[in-house]
Amino acid sequence: MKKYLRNPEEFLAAIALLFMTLIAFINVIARYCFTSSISFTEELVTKMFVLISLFGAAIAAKRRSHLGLTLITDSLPERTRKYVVGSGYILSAIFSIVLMYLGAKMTIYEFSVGQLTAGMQWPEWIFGIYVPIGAAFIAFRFIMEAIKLFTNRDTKQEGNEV
Amino acid sequence: MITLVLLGSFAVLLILGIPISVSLGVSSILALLASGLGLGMIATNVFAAISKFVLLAIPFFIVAGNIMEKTGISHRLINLAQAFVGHKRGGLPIVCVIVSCFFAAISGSGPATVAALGPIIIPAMVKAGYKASHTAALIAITGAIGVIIPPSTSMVIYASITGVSVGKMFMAGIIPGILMGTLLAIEFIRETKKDNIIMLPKASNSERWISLKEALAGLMMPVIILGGIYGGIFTPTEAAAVSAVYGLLVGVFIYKNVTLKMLYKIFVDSVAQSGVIMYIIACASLFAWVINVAGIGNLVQNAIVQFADGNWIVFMIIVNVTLLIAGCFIDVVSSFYIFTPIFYPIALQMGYDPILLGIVMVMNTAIGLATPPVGANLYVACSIADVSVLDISKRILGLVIVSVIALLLVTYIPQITLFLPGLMK
Repeated sequence: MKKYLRNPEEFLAAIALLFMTLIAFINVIARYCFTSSISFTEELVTKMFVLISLFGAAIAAKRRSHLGLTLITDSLPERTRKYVVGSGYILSAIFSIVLMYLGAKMTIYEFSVGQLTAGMQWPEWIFGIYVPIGAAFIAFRFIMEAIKLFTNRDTKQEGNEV
Repeated sequence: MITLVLLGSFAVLLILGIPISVSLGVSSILALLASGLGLGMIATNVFAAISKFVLLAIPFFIVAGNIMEKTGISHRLINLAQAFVGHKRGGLPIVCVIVSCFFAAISGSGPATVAALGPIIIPAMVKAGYKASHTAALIAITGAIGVIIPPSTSMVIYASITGVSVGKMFMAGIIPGILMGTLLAIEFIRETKKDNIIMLPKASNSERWISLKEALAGLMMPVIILGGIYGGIFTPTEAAAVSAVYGLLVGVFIYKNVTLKMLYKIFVDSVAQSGVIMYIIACASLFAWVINVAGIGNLVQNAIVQFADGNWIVFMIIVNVTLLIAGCFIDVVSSFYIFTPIFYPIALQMGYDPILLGIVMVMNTAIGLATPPVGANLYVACSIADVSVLDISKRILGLVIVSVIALLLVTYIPQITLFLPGLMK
């Protein structure tokens, strides 16, 4: 249980993706067996997709699996490389914090004008808030990786796996 | 000025090894600040870029691919191919190509194909006498066929940008993918003629039958996906979800080797893998938006139109050269987001088929997956075969040239690509 609490985004995103897959599948079955599709599900899963994408980016930050051009940084001496890569993580975190701030502004705006979604007529902000929440997780994970690098508590090899 | 800020900062960040997604995002922000356009649209843009139903096919296909890999379907496909062609001269390279094509038809992703098949094929080929670096080069590039043979995440992305039919794109990719695979197998066999290769013993008919039965569930997957889409039963996104659920059912009820813990890992891995792609998509669409509002896109378009002077042959040379060079430095998704809005309107204007343009772009970016320095397939193959990027880069040259020949054939003989989708009408 502790493992899940330490990585809440992993747990939530995995459940959400499973849910989305099943919903999309059930929708096909429903259309052919009961000739009625659950049409609002399309909007729901599409919007949930934003959350799992950003959580996925956070998990990838932790796994250091974000794609990049590492040919030049790889050829640097070990100490220098660590600082270059670590600074890169800090910059990535700053970018995510900017995204979080702008996302929060967007969510507040959506809330204040009472914007509704096109299909389900739900409040837009309950989905818009995925952007600041997701960006916060990404920023946190990048900062953690940078700290690990700078404090020599580095056990992982950064890789380019996809 | 804004052009300089955008492209200059992007290049610097990329060289410093900053993740491509972040490089795209930060340079977009800097360009917006420099131009005084403000950052108000960024969050909305990020949200809108991701929340598209078509793009949902990406995580679903990734789930399907991961399930197929973990349940051992890749192993069974290799056994099947070996039973049928393993005893022939050049049998193993042919196995490698055939299985890549088939597995690609399930996972829809290049690096995933390499990661799934590499650990099985590379040791087998090394044991038979092929060089590790040469084998790794072959699998890196045959894995790239993964994005040409349907279903393919690249095609989904191209379709989501341009609005062309995903189904037609899938259909159009089949022959070009097979063509490239065939040429690669021939070239590899030619290159390894002098190596001392041990051939596998010929499999008996009963062995062949058993391997066929074992792999049947996996073989059915592309049939379900493509059949369902063309039969009009479901959309490509739904097909992806169906194939994920199908894979799950096969794993649980037929192969009986799926545990709850494994399932959790499959879904977390899939979230992380699609997160990398989707974060690039979010930032790349922001970057493409800046290119558009800053008028850079228009500028480049006019230059291309003027240079090509109404000649589509020249235009397609520009497309191919640009994408092949870009493919060496940026990833597949970014390439699509940056270049499609530029090339697509010109192609329409010149009467070049948009589906064909899509396939040409997919092939270009596929080759980019296997060319240094930023070839995702290359890195995956290197780490599996335990060879250096330099070693593999030397070995891959001939194979890349052959792939480019396939690309040129497809570019300039439209019938190769458009024959199958033409039958759909």
